[in-house]
Amino acid sequence: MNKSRMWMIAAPIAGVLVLLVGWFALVSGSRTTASDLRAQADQTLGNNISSEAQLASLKKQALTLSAQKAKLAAVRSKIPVGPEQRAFVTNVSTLATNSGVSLKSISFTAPGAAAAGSTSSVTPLPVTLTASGTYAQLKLFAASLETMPRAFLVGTLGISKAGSTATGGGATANPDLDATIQGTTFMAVTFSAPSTSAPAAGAATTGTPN
Amino acid sequence: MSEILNPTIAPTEETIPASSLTSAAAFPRVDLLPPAIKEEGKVRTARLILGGAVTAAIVLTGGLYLMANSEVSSAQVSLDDATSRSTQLSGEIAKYSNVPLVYGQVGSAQAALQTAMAGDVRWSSVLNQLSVNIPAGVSLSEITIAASATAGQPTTAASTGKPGALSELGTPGIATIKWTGTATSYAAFASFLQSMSRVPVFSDVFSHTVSKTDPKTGTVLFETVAVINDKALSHRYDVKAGR
Repeated sequence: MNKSRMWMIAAPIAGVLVLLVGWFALVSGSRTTASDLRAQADQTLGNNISSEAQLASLKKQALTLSAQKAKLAAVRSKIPVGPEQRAFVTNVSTLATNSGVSLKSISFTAPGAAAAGSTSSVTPLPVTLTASGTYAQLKLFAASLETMPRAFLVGTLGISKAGSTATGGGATANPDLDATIQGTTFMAVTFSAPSTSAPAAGAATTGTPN
Repeated sequence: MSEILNPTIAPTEETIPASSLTSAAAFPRVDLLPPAIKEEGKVRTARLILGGAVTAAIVLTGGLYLMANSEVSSAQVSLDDATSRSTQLSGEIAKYSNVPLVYGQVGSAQAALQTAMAGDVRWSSVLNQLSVNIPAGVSLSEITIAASATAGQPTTAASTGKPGALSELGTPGIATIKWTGTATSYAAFASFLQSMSRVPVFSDVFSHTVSKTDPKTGTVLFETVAVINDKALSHRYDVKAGR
């Protein structure tokens, strides 16, 4: 093989070698980097599409935010944070007066350990009300309790009198009916634990507003 | 060397046309270049070709590298734009961070209220239905309603002492009701039973004992129980779907 032929054979080999070395040393790395960057850009763009949808949804929800806050306030008035006994007693007393019944007592049973160990978001606060009045007055009082701002779930309702309670034809002439209403009001569990200041579990606090 | 000293002379035996006498081809061509010089020229040409190939490869590689770099730059710009938009969107979303918080609070508060008041009954309505359906000649001395301890779930009824708010006939309910009273006659008491059975929220009206307390007047004393069915539930606190 003469020299010229060797050089002629070496030329394409050298060219290919230079191409290969250049490809792997320079081009390939850059292409990989570009590919990675494009993938990151695509992912970010995809995330942006989700974020834009989320933003649009948030903007739409924000339009009714005041209504939602009003709903929240309404629910919080139904289930306040803490026992809010003062407000409850004031409410019930006013309702009793407006209904014409004589409210004899309001007894609270402290939630005690039940509140501390509760996994629910609300804690029941048992309440017993005793009142007297006519059947119509007691019925009106019951209706008032159902519509008062604080949620009140009646568990037991007893109406009794030695004489007639409700007489035939709906007449309710006897004004001396006694009613005992055992129910439950609720408080949000986020209120501070009652263990130090509140009475022990099962202990009843009784008030006589009227 | 002999080839150099004796250059090849083109054959001249053939008759050359007169018209071609003036063209160069008509003259004899003699290659006087020594083969070594000729070989050296070929090698030089091959070297040039090699150099050209390498140069072309370098140029091609450089071009590809520039293209790849251009792609990197383009991709980087796209990524920067996307990242910038992402940052902008995150900032805007952060401005509304209280929105999902409030919605979440409303949802959980409503759910808690619904759970707590699932057993809510408008007892005033029940009392009203009761009073308007008491027939003439019947007088109640005591009414006791005991709702299930667990909201909306049948459980022990304090009035009957039986497990769950079940009627005497085994019908489940959300509460039990017990009436104690007097009737002017057995017929009046029967009328009372019939009237109470017609009240939609009462089920399985049942009386254990009816006894005559005064043989002269015919007055009877009775104690009757029933269960209050789930038609009495108010559903006032149910959270509607999509609210």
